[in-house]
Amino acid sequence: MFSALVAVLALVLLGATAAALAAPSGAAPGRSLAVSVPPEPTVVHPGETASIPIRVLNPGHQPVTATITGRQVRLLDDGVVRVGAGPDPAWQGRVGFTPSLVSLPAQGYADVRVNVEVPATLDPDLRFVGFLVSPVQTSPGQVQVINEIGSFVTLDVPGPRSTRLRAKLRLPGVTLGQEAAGRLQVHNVGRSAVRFWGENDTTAWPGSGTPRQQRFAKSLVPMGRSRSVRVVARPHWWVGFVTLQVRIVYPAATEAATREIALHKRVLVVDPRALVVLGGVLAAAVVMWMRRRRRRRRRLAARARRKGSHRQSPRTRASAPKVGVS
Amino acid sequence: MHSAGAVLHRSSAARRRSAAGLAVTVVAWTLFVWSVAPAHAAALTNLNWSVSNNQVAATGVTYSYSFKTATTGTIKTITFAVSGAGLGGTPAIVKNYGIPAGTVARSGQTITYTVTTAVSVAASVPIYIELSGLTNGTPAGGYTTSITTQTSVPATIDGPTTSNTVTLAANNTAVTVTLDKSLTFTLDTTAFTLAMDPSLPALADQSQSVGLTIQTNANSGYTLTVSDLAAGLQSAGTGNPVIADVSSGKATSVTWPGAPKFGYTVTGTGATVDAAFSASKYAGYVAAGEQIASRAGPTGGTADTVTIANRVAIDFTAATGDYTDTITYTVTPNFT
Repeated sequence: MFSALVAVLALVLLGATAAALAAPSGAAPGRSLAVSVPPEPTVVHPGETASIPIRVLNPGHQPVTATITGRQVRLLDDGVVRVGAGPDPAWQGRVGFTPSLVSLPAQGYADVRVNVEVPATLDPDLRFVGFLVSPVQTSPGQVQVINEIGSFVTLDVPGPRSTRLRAKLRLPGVTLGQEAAGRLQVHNVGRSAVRFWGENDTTAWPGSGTPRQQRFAKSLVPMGRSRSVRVVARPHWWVGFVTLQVRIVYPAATEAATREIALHKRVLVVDPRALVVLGGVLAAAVVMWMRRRRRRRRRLAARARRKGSHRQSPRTRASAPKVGVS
Repeated sequence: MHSAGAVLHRSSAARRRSAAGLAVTVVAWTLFVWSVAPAHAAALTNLNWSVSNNQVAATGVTYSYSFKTATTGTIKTITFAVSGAGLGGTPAIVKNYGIPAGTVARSGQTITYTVTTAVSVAASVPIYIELSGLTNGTPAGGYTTSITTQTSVPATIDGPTTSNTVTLAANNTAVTVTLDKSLTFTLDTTAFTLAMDPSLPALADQSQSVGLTIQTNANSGYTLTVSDLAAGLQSAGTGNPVIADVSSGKATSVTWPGAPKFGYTVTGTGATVDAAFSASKYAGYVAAGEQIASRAGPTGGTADTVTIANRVAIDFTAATGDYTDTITYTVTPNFT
């Protein structure tokens, strides 16, 4: 009965005062971890063993021990990466890490080699080797909190490949705002991963004919995946037509030639400020017209009164009743 | 007389016609000569040439050219005539901006970029072409590239315009600085314990915040996911009692329903926090992991902060004991 009344879930501070117990207790200090990978794909040839350098770092002020293990990576739309729970079956037994356990002092780092045995029968394409850097948990506590970093290295198996992209420009024909903004969706419908780049050249009418260039940096689209890029076009004035000439460029079978997808769209952009000004001008015009109309009516009425008084004969005027105060 | 006058009229008319024809021919010829003569082609502007390695005879070098067109024209080819001798390699196109897709080839000292489908390029358009796989010439010294744009005729549109001088040397040190794609993930709490008591509201409903900071130079940002081991807080006591999750994941997030429950909510700066946690809604952890925050670009100099408020509420229905769980936060840099 007593135990039911005092259901203490984690009595780590037995004997402490109620006030002390009211605050969460036993929060262990923080931990920092960082991972660096080469920014560009590493060229590997089928049948050879590749060694790719990565770095595991401890930017924090407490020592950290971390493990590096192979993981399956799934590359999704828009560059999102998901790290799986286990090693990639495609690289089973072919990926190793030297070392796979690193002890990092505060502000220290360790260089790690990712050793990959490239199969002899690998088609030319970009390949991805995933891994997970996980700290070895040493802090005491009922609820353990772990910060892991999942990452991958990219291998480029050279050779002619089958590349094919499809692109769609999603943009309304009329935009109420200061700029026309839309999304360019690029789908990889080919049989190998593609790194594309491109630009959006916009011209505005009325305005100068020299296009403004919005460049798209090189982006990877894995097979069967898509990537969306924001495209914008701004008119020179508050109201104007903007023409977007979007160009997506990617390597053909070899890198000595490129392919291109060209898309074209014209959008009417109306700045809300233009509507406010137009509304103001219209309102002012209506007010002026009404005032003018009223003045004209008054003038006509006065003229009519004057004419009426002129038409009265002196006899009528004399017989008219006289109103006044003496 | 009449007949002689008519003849005179006819001859003067014929003279006028032939004079007009001659004038048209002269104008047409002048226009033709003006359009095709290289001497009249305008110079490209803002021309810049840089190389990734300035060692003589170095292989696998990337040449980058940037310039602005001076004249509107339908560009079919751009020729890059490198001075000196010894240029080699098979060039590949790394990037091309301002000019449509095409092919590249090298013959001797001249690299030719041929546009597949020539289109009109307006004046003052910035063009950038990056070519890899080249071999630097020899000997050491200053080199320039003369760039010309031409139509399919071929007729010169702009150029030849000479670039800045690039010095290729044998006795210098080639410096290549590679900036890795890096991601730092910091956690301010690696473990926590909540001493709870159902007798007092302040002890029966407690929260522990876990602060995460993420910083990356990955162009496409990162994704933060969270997972746990068990379906709620679990005790090792008889019957393995649990303090149940507040929901079965973020898709069914709820406003805090009261005891006995375990859940979390997310707030953040810099990062885009999942909409499931708006209006202080709580969700239960799932073993498979769920995305809770992300960012579509690099963080720059200021790290993103994400705060996870873990909340536990109990009442007298909860069995006594030590309840445990392991929460794992995984950050993955997005690919570019």
